[in-house]
Amino acid sequence: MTMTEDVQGIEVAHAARLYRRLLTLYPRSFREQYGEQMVQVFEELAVSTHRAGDRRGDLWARVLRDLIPSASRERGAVLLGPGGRWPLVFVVLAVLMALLVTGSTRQLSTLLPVLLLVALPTAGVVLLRRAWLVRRTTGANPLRQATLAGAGLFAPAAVFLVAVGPDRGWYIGVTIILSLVCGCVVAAVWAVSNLASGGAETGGRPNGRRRAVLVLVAGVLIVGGIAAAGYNSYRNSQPPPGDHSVANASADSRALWEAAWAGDVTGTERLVAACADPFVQFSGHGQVDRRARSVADWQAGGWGNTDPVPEVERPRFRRVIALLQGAEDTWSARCGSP
Amino acid sequence: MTRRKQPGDFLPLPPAPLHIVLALRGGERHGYAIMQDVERLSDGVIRMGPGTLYGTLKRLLDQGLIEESDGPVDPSPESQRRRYYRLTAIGQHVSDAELGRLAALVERSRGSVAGRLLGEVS
Repeated sequence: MTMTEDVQGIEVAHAARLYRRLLTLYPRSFREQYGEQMVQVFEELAVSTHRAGDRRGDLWARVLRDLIPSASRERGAVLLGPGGRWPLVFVVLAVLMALLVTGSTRQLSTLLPVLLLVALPTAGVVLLRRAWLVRRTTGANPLRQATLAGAGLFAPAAVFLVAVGPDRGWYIGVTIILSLVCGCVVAAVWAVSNLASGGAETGGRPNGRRRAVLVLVAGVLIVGGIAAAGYNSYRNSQPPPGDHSVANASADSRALWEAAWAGDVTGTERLVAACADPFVQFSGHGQVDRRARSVADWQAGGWGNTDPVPEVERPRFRRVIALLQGAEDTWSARCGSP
Repeated sequence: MTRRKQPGDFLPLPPAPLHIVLALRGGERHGYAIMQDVERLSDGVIRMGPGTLYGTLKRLLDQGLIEESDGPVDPSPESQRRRYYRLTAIGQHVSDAELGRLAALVERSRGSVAGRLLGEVS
């Protein structure tokens, strides 16, 4: 063998070692089946590239251009299942979660961080499916399968609750921790039931009864999550109970009341046109006494005053209430429900 | 009971499987030879890497269009390591069907081009 062939052999061996390390990007099952052949083809490609006088960079350009897309494709095939089609139910689940999150919070800005949580638990549920069907996704370890099952089942429902929580940042961390806790609980139940049944599963398909229980738990959690999101959305649309004192009114609300009390139609209309934050009390159900009491309470600087409005003051109250009622209708039409 | 797949069910073949199937029409091949044949058949346009090659071979195996074969008798160490592939019967039918489909497509395209040219002239 000549010196040149020696050098070529060493270079090819080095390159093949590096390529072998890069094969870790592929799924393990794929590597076990085709890894050696891929390295052999790489070596032959390296030798022919060298003989043709091409630069080393041309070989690596060709290989790397192929590596990322093909590795992603194989990883995706393992994740998605036979046929490579997204399980429709999980796509629907992800879209449903995103819609409910956006709808219940009415803020598009929550969509981005929540999508990260939607994508992760959705992938978790897909992995759960793979664990059941493929067997080897989690190394045939029943405890790891069960932990994955618990996390994958709990996390989507928990995302609903996270999205509707007032302090989302805090809840995100809680959700992740609760997902893991739930997974460990399910894993423990699984392990105990395995021991009780007199033998460990070796990562095969769970039996029908256990699968039914898991599906039932998943259904309860998901339905519960949807119900929680729906209830919270309804609650957000209702006037909040509790203290309506002037001190708690926003500056816009006070401005609106003052304009109405002064009979300033233009000022009232301007505030309504700007979708100023209205006092929820004036969007109530509308008898003169009740509304008048609201105005009187506002005048007194606090709510809860049950004294009847003096008769002499009632005409003015009616004018104010009519002005506010007109403003309320305009506000509702223009700015949404107060 | 699931219906047995017909050759038409696999059409149209995407480019990578198509070229591999065409390469195997010439007989059993190992991976590197398939790669070279694909490059030659496509006039250098398609230059597969090992990842795409074996990913596609895996899918063709799963679909039953190709199978592994023993390969030629060759005592060399390189040959011992190689795995050979060949078309199955249905793979042969699928490649015939795909070539027929492409030939018909070319023919119809020629017809429409000729018709347009006649229209322009007259």
